This record gives sequence, C-alpha cells and structure tokens, in this order.
Amino acid sequence: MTSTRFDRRALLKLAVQAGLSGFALEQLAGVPLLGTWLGERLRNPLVNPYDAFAMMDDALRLGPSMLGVHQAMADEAEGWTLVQIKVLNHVYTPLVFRLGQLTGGTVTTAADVPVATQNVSNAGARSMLQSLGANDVSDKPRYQNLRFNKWFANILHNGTADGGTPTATNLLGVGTGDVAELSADKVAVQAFLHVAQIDSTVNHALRGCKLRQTLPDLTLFAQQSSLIQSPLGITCFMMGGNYDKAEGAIAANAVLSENPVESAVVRSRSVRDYVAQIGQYVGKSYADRASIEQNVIYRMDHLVQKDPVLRRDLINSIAQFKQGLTTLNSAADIESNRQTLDLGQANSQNLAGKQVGASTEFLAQCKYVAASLDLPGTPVRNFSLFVNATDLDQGPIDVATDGGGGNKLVQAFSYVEAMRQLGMGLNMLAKKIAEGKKMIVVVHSEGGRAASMADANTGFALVLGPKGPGLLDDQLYANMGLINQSTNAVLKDTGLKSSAVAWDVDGLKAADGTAANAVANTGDVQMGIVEFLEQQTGLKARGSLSAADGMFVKLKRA
Amino acid sequence: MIGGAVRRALKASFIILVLALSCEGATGCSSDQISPLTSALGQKKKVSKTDDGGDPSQDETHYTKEIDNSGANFQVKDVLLLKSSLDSCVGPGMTTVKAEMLLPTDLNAQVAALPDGKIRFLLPTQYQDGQNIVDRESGNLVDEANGTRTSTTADSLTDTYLRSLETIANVVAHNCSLANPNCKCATKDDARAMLERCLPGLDPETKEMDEAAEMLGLVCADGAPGMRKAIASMISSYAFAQAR
Repeated sequence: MTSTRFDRRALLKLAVQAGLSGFALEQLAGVPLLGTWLGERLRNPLVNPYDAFAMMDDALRLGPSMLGVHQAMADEAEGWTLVQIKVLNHVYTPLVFRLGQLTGGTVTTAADVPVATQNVSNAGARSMLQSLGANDVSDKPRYQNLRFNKWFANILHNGTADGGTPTATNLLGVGTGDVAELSADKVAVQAFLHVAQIDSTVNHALRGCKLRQTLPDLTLFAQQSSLIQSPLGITCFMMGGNYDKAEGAIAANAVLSENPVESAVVRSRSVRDYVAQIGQYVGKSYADRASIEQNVIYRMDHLVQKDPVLRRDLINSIAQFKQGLTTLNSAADIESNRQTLDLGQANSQNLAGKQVGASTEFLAQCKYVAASLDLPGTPVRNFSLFVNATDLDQGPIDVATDGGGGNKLVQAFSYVEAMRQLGMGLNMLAKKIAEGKKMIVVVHSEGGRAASMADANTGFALVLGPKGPGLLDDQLYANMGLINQSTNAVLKDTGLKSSAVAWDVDGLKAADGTAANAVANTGDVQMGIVEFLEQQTGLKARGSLSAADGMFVKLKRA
Repeated sequence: MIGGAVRRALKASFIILVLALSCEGATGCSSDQISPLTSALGQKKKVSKTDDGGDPSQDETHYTKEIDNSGANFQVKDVLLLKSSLDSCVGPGMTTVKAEMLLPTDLNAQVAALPDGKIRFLLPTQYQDGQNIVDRESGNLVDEANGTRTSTTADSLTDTYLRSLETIANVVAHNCSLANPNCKCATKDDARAMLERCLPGLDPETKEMDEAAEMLGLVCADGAPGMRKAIASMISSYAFAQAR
C-alpha cells in the first residue's frame, strides 16, 4: 500500500523550503492551506509539534489550522489511528484470562492455581465475580480461544459493566450508541501471555511502558516516523491525579522520549482539558457563527467576492466541529461521572485516602477517542490512554488503595473496576473499528502482579485492530502447552519473572523476520504494531533497529 | 473623527494598493471573473469625498479585480493599513486588549459573566492586558515594515489572515459600546454610515451595499450583543480585509 500524499514530515520540509524560496505552499495540490500553518509552527520554537494540547492551543489562536487540516485531509486516503493504553500499576492475568486444562469448553485447574477471585475481600464482590464467570473460561468460542474469562469476555463483547446486553444501568453513563456487540468479522482481537518487562529492574515506572529502554513511547515513535500522521500530534490522557510511580520520576501519564531517564515529550491532561481547548475553536467569538445561509460575515464577504471559498469552508468546518464538540462534551461529562460506591461491585476508586465510587474516567478517554475520529479532517490520530489501577501491594483486587504508600494523590481504581472499564472502553474503540476506522489499539502494562498480589514482572497485552484480508485476525500468543495443563509453575503464579516463558506458537520474530526463540516483552508487542503499520503505510521505521531492539511480534494477519 | 494625517496616509496606501490590483497589471483577469458587484465597482468613478478638505479627484479612479477562489490573488491590508482603517472605522484606541477579554488560565474554571453580553475570548497563554491586538497579530498578517508576513505569499488572503482578522475584530467589538458614536449601527442609515466609513473603497450606491447596510442594521439593532456581532462580523469580512 502506498503512503498517502499527506506526509507531515514532507510538509514540514516543504515549509522550510517555502520559507526560503517564497514558494506558496497553499498552491500545492492536495495540501491547500495546511502548509501555511505548518510552516508557521515550524518557525515557532515555543510550540511542541508532538503535543496535541499545545498544538491545539496554538491552532486555536490561529483557528484556521483546524480548517487547514480539514481541507488537507479531504482528498486523502484516511490515515491510521493509534491508541496505546497503559495500565499501571501492573496487571493481574487471572482477572482477564482463565488458564488451565481446557476440555469441552470448561477449564479445570488444581487447587494451587489461583482463579480470579482468589484475592477478593468483599463477599459480595466475590459472589458477583463468580456469578458473572470470572473464574470460568468464556462460553463464547471466539473468546474461549483467546482464553478470556467469561466475565471479561462479556464486558468486552457487549461494552457493559456486567457483561450483559445494554440496559439503563450497566452502561455507566455511556450512551447506547457508544457500544455495540464486538464485531466478529471486522474487529480482530489478539492476546499475548507471558509478556516480560522491557526492563525487569524497574518496578512500575512509566518508562516501563516505552517501546524500548532507549526508544521513545510507541506513540512518539510512530509519529516521528510518520507511521501515524496525526496533524495535531499526540493526545495524552491521565486518569486520577497520580499513579504510584514507585521507581519512576513521573507520577502521571506522559509520552516519553528515547532518553532512558524518564523525560516527557508530551504530558498528560484530563479529557475535560482537551475538550475545553477544542471548545475555544468554535465558541468564543462575537463574529457570526451562523450557518452559511444566515451568516453575516459571509454576506459581507460577497461585497468583494462572489465565491468566498475560504469563508465557506471555515464556517462549515466550525459547524462540523460544533457537532463533534457535543459528543466531546459528553466525554468530559463522563469523566466526572462518579458511580455510587458499591463494594459488592468492587467499583471503587481511591480519593484522598478513602474509597469512593469510581468515576468513569477511562471510559471518557475512550469516548473522546471515538468522537475525535469523527471530527472533520481527523486532526488527532495518536492517543496515549491511561488506566490507573491501584498498586495492590498484597491487597485484594476489589479494593482501591492509595497506592500502597499512603499517597493520597493516587486516585486509582480497584483492579476489578480497572479491568471492567478497560473491557468497556475497548468495546467502544472496537465499535469505531467496526465502522471502518483504521485504528489499532494496544493494551499493556509495565509489569505483572504475582499471585500474592505483590509487584511482579510478567503480564499480558492485548491488541485490537481491523479484521479482514491484509489486516488482522484473532490470535492468542502463549505457550499453549503450558496454559493447557491443570497446574504448573506458570499457572500457579503468572506474574513471576520466571513465568515469562517463550511461546510455542509462531509470533516472535527477529528484526530480519526470522522466528525468534525467546521470551516476548511488552516492547516486542508494541514493535509488532510498528511492523504492521509499516506494511500498511509502505514506510520503514525500524531500519536502524537490530538485535533485541529489532525484535517484534508478527501480528497474525487474516 | 478621523484625523487628516491618518486619512492622507490611508489614501496614499490605498492608491498604491489599487494600482497593484488593477486588471492591467494582473494575470488571469478576465471579464467572466468579474462579478456584477465588482463590475459596478470596476467602473471609473470617484472615491468617496474626504473630510480633510483635500482634493480627492486626482488619481482616484480605480478598477477592482475579481479574485480567484484560493485567495492567492486577493490583496489584503497590511498592518499599517489595518491600523489606519480601524482608526478610520471605529476611532483610535479600540484595538487594545483588556484583561476581561482573557479566558481564565484554567479553561474549566467558573468565572463571573461580563456585563452587556461581553465574552472572554482570548487565550491567556497567548495574549496580555494592554497589548495592541494588531501588533500582537502582526506575525499572522502582512507587516511589510517588519518583514513579517502571513505566509510565503506576501499579501494574499489566507485562512490564517482571516482568523487573525477575526481576533482583531473581536477586540474592537468588545471595546465598542452603545454610547460610542463610532459603534453606532442600529439603523440602516447608521449602518450605511459605518460601511461607508469602514469600507471606503466600495461604492456606497450599489444595491449590494444597500442590502448590506440593511442587514447590518438589523443585526446591530439587537442591543449591545447585536452591535458587537455586527461590528465583529463586518471587520472579519473579506470586504474589510481587502486592500483597496
């Protein structure tokens, strides 16, 4: 597949040339207007071109950048959208997967293999999880093949808090139009087990989510290499005030540079902050904002020009943004929508050292992403999302603590709530994929949680993307032999460092594409996204990578 | 209301720009590109009378050229001409940024509403109390004196220029009050007077100008918010942007 004509890097280069030669970028076929703005940005050292918030701030002052983006994109093949979801602090494999001897649709394990409810403190919560199938493998063949437990699989499939079909209460404030049954033929789901950390010496630090220790975040790598051409850069969200950064320097989500020391290129904001930025674009003016038929400015334009194209496009663009803003505003509302605390549902979040009902902050991020994809020109296509799951430190999965360290700024979900919102949010994103959006989603953590609920090393990852010829297919990457037993060391404690074992299915590759007999880590899964996007865009981003840095998971194609 | 020196400077700039716009000096200026309105404007005619006692008749014949869709041939006012045009239009001192125009640093913060339907519309990260908005926006406009320009095309109409002009228009509109005679536009006659003052290069006798005056008057008649909407919209327009 050839790359689209819109190439951000090429445009920036052209902008430099234009600045030197006086060449009118506006006259470039296919990129009307955008060149003006990008050229201006290039000359403005104060604007971080990777930071969607800063770019919007600048764009909103100049306004037309949105219009420019819109127009530049109008004739282009739609580019890819990337969503990286970081789950900190650590993930607990049994809460999502049911591993063990699979026979006739049922998984059996020995008593020494923990199930999802092994560490639940509230009897009601334990009962809820059991009744919804957290200790059982999914009864749906598709998810059974992925070894999802029934509870998580149903949440993912239906996009609801209890995994049932949508009702007035199980959507947690999300609209019925935001979720849908996960498409069997348009959305691929891939799961990766026994996934190691990129640096096993670092305990839940943000840099554990990077592509490699000496490479940046996936979102930044993709943006820099033009695999993802997000005109306004990277949108980076945080949920909750802080996470328990442990050995990290940065307490909130950020897009990190290649510097091995944590160095933020794009810092995170709330959904509401982003929505407020976009709101400035459409709302704050005395000048007429009416539609073209009634617009006073448009009528005044006609005094000197019979066809004021720029104005017409500007007015129409604003109208489209207004429409999109309605949805974005609802995303911001969801962010502050706090559930009633029900310990029997384990829907808790830490707030100032106390458990309260969890707000739907992660769902808000997903709704924002979904709504953004409908904005004219898709000005934002690169997203870093954050699920703030509490640092259990031996605590139960249904309780939201303050990060184990007494840090009241940590506003993390209980593990149950974190996986619940993760499943629902993935469904919302999958719906957009099913609608035809070229979006790929990767979920991973900085590590895993041990059976004792202590900080540990080995976790899992998930990928969602478009399904179909040349695209992705469902796949489970695991050591199938090991997970299909009633007990063994890996099953007994999926989070231990020793549980990061090599898969016995095809997937992990060396940089040259040959099969690699090694343990996959979270960076390898992310590098699989890079390889997939390379194939889709025709670009080469991994050229200089070799050895361990060049390894990748070959995501299964349909 | 308008100083003679300013008027003369405006006139000088105007003549220079009109010459640059003439059909004879431009390419691609065919008769089918001339709208009925600009055809009318394209007739040899006298520019509106001056109030400084000077003789306006010399050299003041001009042609208006219709422009193509891209805006690449639409010659816009530069910073100097914008300033003088605004002075002529609404009087001096109307382009100053005031603190109450600035949005709160926290965009989600609740702040008290302003009286008279005024709004806060400037990002605090970008603007400051006391700035001259035209100077502040000069990087997005055409500032020959300082060598900056909107784009690589020196003086064409761009989206950036239009939105920057809207920002300027918002500042002017915010500074306007019903008590200010220069902001008076709530009747057709008042609106016509404003159009003649603010768009001096256009023939006030055309049907289009008559309709524009009526429309502007109607919008402006809706109290202070209507007045601001009318003025901001007029100054944001191609008609005001165009150098004549």
